[in-house]
Amino acid sequence: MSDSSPVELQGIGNRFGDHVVHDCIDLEIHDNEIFSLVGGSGSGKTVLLNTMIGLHQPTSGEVRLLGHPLHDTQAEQQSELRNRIGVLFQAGALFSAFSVGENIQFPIAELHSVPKNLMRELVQLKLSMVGLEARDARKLPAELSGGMRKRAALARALALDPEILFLDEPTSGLDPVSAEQFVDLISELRTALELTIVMVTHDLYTLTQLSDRVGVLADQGIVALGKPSEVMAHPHPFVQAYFRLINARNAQAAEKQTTGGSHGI
Amino acid sequence: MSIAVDENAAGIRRVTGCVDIRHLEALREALGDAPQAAWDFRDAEDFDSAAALTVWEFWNGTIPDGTQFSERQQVLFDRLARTPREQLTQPLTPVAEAAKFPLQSLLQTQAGLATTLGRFVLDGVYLVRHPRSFPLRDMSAACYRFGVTALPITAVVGFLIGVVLSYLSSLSLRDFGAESFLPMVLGIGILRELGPLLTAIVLAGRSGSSITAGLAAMRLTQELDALAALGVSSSRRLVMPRVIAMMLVTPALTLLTDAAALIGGMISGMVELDLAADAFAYGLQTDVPLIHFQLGLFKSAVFGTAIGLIACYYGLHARANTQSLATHTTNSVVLSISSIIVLDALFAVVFKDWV
Repeated sequence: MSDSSPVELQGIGNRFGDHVVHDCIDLEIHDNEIFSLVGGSGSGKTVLLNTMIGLHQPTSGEVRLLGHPLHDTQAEQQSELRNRIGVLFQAGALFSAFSVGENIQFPIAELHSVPKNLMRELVQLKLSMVGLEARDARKLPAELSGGMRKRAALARALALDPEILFLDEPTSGLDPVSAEQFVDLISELRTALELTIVMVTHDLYTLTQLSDRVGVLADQGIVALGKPSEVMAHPHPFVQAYFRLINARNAQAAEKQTTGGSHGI
Repeated sequence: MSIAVDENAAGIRRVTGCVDIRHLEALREALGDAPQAAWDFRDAEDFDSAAALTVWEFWNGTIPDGTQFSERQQVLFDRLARTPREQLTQPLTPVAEAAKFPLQSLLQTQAGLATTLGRFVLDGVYLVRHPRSFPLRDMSAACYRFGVTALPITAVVGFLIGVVLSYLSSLSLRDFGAESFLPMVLGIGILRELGPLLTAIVLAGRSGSSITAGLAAMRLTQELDALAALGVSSSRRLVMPRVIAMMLVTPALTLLTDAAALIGGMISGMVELDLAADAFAYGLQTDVPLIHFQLGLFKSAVFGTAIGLIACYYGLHARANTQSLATHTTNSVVLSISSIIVLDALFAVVFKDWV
């Protein structure tokens, strides 16, 4: 199973009318890595993510998930493939009429293979995995705080023990403390569940803490690809502008540390 | 790949095959009934948390000595061991709201509607004193969306009802040789009762539901909160233009329905009874007192106001979830139509001497 890469993009092109968003993108995501996609607003990060999870049919090119083609296949195979991936949408996208527990139960119940009692225990197990309490299962999504909603949505994404997890802006809208906790949670789950994670993020903290590799989307393609530290040093003007702030801050912190150190001694 | 269990010389039971959430029944069968034996799960494929939970239940929460796991399976069982049993069995369904006595929810709706009506009147007074803040553009947009676009459907419904009514009455009228009473029968029936009632029912289904769903969707997207945060009164900016639009548009559409129904009746009379068009028109003028027509228009203005108020009440009081939007839209249409009929019955009693 692990002999083919989890996500493989071959010559992906996307255009809306005359507007070319992506032009021939090739990308391979490795097993058990956290891959972050960054880029300016309107650079087509979400379109690329939607292409990877099969919500958007690319104008050209092919997407392979876990070695199987995602588009141009039978609906049945496609839905089987989708059961092996989990998606966390930006605003959670929990079903507002269901309780949190019923939301997590939903994908499991769709399989019609799990007895009712076991299903309930499975849901509670997922809840405890994402750090929610058992009584939160009975709450409606509207009664949850932003951070809890993200956790509940993550539990739903993990309901079927996916092999790949897609995260769209996992920490947007969270306060720094919740964001940090969420980042810790994701990295913990990645190790425990041997997940491959693909995420889109704007948050530099999330990016530097979690990512094994980063891809920068600009000029209709991926202009820089590699480890976070390598990408930040990339000479492309957009990459430089994007990471200028964090580079400057790091430099400042380093300077402070050296001067502070000399004072101490 | 089916699940198989084989026992080696040391008495260790080795599980092989695809052990995942889709094959729980097969797993349960393969496990048999000897939980105390030592197990080896290292060759089981796709071992997921549902499988772990099934095995955990089978073992009754204690892992038998000598059992072997892969690293990933170990992580799953460690988590299970750390999760308290009573946590796993907590229910998932929301705490059911205490069932309300039907009368109680009816009284609540009545109170809510009375509040909406009261606020509407107060807003009316405010706008009379501050005519510049009258939401004229919103109102004209509402008139177009909830009235003008309903023209074709009300006209078609009116025309067909006119044809049917005229045909059925002409059958009886001919038996008595009373063909010349057809304009009077149709005139009074349509102008006083059917025209206003039909128009209001069509509008309740068509425009009332659209008002409720539109406002409830604004609750869902937090637009109502944004409006309140901007210091704009939702009752003045959203309810007022819609209710006034419904109040104006319903009589106007009733006029059209009346005309369409009478034309339908006339055509049917020409075919069935050989009643000339000018004789029909003359009959309408002489036999049908104007008061029926005026009363009909007055009634339809009241119906329109009722539809607008009920639709706005349900729209603004929907909660921020999709289920609530659906039930409130249904309730809005049901209550609108039934109150139209109740109001109509009231009018019949109150105005019984106006003939």
